[in-house]
Amino acid sequence: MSARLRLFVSDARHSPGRVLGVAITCLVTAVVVGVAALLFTTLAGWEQPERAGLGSVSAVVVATTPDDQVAGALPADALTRVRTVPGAQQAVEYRDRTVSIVRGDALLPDVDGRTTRAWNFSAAVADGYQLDRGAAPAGNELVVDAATAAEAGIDVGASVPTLSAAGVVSRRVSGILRASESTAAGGPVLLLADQELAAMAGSTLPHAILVPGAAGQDAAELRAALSAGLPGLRVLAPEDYKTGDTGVTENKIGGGINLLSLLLFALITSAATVLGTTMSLWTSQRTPQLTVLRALGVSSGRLRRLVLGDAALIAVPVALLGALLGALPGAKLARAALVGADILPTDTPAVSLGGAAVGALALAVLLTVSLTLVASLSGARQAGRLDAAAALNSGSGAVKLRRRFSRLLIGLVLLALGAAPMLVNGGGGALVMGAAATVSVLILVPALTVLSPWLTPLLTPLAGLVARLDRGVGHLIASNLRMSTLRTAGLAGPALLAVGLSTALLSAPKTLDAGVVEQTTQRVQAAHLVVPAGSAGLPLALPAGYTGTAARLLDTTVQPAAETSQGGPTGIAAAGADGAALAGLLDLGPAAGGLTALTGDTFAASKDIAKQHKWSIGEQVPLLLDDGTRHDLRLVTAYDNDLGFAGVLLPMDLAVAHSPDPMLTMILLGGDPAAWPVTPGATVVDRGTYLDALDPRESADSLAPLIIALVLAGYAVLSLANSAGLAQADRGPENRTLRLLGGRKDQLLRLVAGEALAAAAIGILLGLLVGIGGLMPLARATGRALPVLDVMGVVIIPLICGLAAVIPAVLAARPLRPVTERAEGGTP
Amino acid sequence: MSQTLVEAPPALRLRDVTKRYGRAADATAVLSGVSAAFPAGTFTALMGPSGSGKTTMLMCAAGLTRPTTGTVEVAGQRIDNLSDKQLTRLRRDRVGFVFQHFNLIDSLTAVENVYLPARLAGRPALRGRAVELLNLVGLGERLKHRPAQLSGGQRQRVAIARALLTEPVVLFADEPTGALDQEAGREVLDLLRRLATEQGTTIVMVTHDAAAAAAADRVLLLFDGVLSAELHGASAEEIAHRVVSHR
Ligand SMILES: Nc1ncnc2c1ncn2[C@@H]1O[C@H](COP(=O)(O)OP(=O)(O)OP(=O)(O)O)[C@@H](O)[C@H]1O
Ligand SMILES: [Mg+2]
Repeated sequence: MSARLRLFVSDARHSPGRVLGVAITCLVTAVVVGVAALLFTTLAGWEQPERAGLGSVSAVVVATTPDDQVAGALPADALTRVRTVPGAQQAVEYRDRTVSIVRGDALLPDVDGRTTRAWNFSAAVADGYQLDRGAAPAGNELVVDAATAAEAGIDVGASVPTLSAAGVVSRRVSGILRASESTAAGGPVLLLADQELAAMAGSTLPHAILVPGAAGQDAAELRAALSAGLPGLRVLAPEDYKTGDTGVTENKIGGGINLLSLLLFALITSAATVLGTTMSLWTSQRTPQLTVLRALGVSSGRLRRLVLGDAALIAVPVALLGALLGALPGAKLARAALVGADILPTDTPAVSLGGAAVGALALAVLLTVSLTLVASLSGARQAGRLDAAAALNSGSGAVKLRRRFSRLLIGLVLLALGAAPMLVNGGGGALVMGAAATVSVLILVPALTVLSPWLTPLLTPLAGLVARLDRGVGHLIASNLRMSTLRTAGLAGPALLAVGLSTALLSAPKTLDAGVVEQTTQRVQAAHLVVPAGSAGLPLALPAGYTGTAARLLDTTVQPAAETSQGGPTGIAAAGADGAALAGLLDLGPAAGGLTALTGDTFAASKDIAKQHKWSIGEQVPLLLDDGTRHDLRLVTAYDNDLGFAGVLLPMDLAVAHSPDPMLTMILLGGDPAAWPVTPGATVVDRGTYLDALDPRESADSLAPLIIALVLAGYAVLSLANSAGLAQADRGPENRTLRLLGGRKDQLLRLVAGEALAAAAIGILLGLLVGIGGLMPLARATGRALPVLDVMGVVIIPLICGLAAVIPAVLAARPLRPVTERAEGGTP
Repeated sequence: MSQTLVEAPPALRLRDVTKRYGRAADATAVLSGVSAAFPAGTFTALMGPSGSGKTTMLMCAAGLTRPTTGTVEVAGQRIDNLSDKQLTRLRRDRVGFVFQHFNLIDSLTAVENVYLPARLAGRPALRGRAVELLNLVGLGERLKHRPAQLSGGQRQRVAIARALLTEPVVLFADEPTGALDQEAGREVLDLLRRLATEQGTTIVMVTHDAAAAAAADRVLLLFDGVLSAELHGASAEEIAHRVVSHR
């Protein structure tokens, strides 16, 4: 065994607690980062079944929006233009619309719970689908795919009631589509005649142009030719085109990946700070030993390498161990938990050790080791700079830790980064600012954690004052807190991180939810509402039997045509509405008036959105509607109460005419609900029931921040325990002195516990201040004086942090041990 | 000075004190049958080779460790059979300690360090006394200095002032000059000498330094756990000769 290894082993054997603390921190970091990385690769590498069912065409031509999304529809002349490209003469228009088969009073549910969609017949033919029996649809006839036909018990010649934007229409089944691979995976369920589909209410423009492949023709070449010949349009391979709504599954995967990204970010910042404090405490405790080495003639460079080497000696095997043994079972557990919590879909592939997974694990190990090494760098530099004479002369042995300039710099840079979202969104409305402030908090909290050595002194006098309530040792607690800034910060930092982040993460959605519920309650005045039952929307027209007042609402989107997007999508959630009928049914605040002016080429916007886009009332604003067409609309009014509601209101006729697949989301009823005829796919609810059922956020959405908050809290607990234990370990001589001076056991206990608690309390207080302070803009945006606080974030996690600091400190100090027999020793 | 105190019990008395570490019967005795009396107001130096049991004897005398057999009395009261709680009170009220390493609390100022035992005992009235004691040890100008801002000798004097705060019956010092240079050591010894003469403090000091021992009223020599000689008013040369010749 080399001398250097022997030194390490003897050090580890002499004070196993220190090495154990560092090792546990590394281990947990490796496991947690490994788990996140494994899940990440599992989700990212998940080959989703093709959803469009457009297997056989060579190219799909679509239009794009200014923010580079696929537009809902193409210009009317698109087909003609496409057909001029050589090899694309067989191109056809593609449309799909929501059409459901009615069974009894309900809709026949689709296989995977998605809205049943109908394609135009020639698009299906172009894509190679074939009839099993019967004939192509003519007039309002219908072709049904084999599985659905069997499910509904229908065959050629049958008459089937269907629900679409036009209401319930009885259609004769003209043919049955042959079952194929792709029908099971997102292909068409229903087919209608091209004319029938194109003539349905809503935008008449095609959704896409399909270019079928010809024998001997290279699809990629064709796509290249199309791209070159069709400026302003986009040419996609069929597998890149997704029809209709994004599936629930897809949203979940995206949500899962977002969750993991946020988690990884939070984890890495936590790991960096936690490892940083642990490593520098470790080095500081080893200074007596290192000083002796320095005095024995070891060069400062070697000393530096020694400290780094020791860090690597712990980090490398432990990180490998964690990644190899802990990450895989951990990831499997995490997957099961996330599926159980409905955050990930049930068919999420199992976590296995493929090539990508091994790479992810290697990355996790690398990350852990490099974080540890970077964290121990400052300790190593410190060791290299040790002045043997000064240290040996200082009597107490341990050299005082100094706050590092580099740490200040990193903290300040993070701070600036945290302020960026606020500055970028400076001109935005209250809600935008509120959201930006919440995002800021998520960066500001780690920044303040890095800066904790400079922040905690601001609060130590306060903590000292409280501590002085204890007449015996309070004074000593106050002095210790003040004098050992880094030790105090080592405990305050993790508490600040956990409490600040969990307060912001957990209380932000609560605040928003409360605002949405409050404003919806204010907004919805109608005594009864008609809402969809099932996955389709409501037909556009009011049923003939109903004569009372009613206001229809239809969800759509608009996009400011004149604005360039700076990255993200600029689409605004909009609604088509019967402006004149809204009075008394939907209260959008006093400023909005009755919205009677919302007709023709006009629109209304929420004050927030108007402010964000700098629109003033009476101004003509160029807007792109859902089908990609551009309209100059006049802003007639701006409204309040927009939380959980559309940011832009369009006249109903305009919204319908330019939606590729319009169906109503809700009808507000003013008259007698009993007069509403029973309609399939719709239910009438009273206002109370509607508001009670209002769950503005999916449960999975609020579970995700809870998971992140808990992981962070767990990490903070670990780090607190570590720091508290390490910080106490070098207090042996001091504690012995106190006992020699006649200090009672309970006094010593109070000293140790009080100091740990006070330091953690400083962090908790800072965390609450930043967390709650950062939510104030969001609270104001939702019309409240204060944010709605989550008990977990502001009570339970702070409590856990306090305990995590006190218990290990008391255990490590072990003041209950009788005064040691060798009391005169000066070094631990 | 010892004549006037003949009838009063000595400040400290050890009777037949034996100390073994470990339970094993074959454990060699570190102290075997040590008996000694320390009259109030006397300054005693304890000398002997390294490992002879000096520190152990001090620990037994101060109630920091229990003798295996034998009794220890402080001001006539037995302390070898006290409970842990009673020992805590003894340390707080009746005895003081000064060690080679100064054992000051780094985060407290000089005056706060001196005042600390009073705080722990909940006796705030002694605040003025802390300042007085620092004046006494010549550190009246450095009340607000922290240990890191004091020299080794100054730190040791703060430790002595702290040990004196509760007016202990006996002041124990284990190599109080061991970590100091000659001049600082001299200052500390002068102070201890003065305390015994002027304040009537009973002092028991372990030392390796014959010159330091010469400052005491008498010197006890300990060899292999046995008190082998007692010198009165011996010079440093004599003491050094006795220590070496015994070997
Ligand atoms: N806790 C203990 N357990 C076992 N043996 C001990 C213990 N403390 C001291 N000893 C032994 O007792 C003997 C006397 O130790 P002591 O510390 O009293 O010597 P000393 O005279 O003070 O020596 P020095 O001048 O080197 O300080 C030594 O041999 C030592 O090894
Ligand atoms: Mg000794």
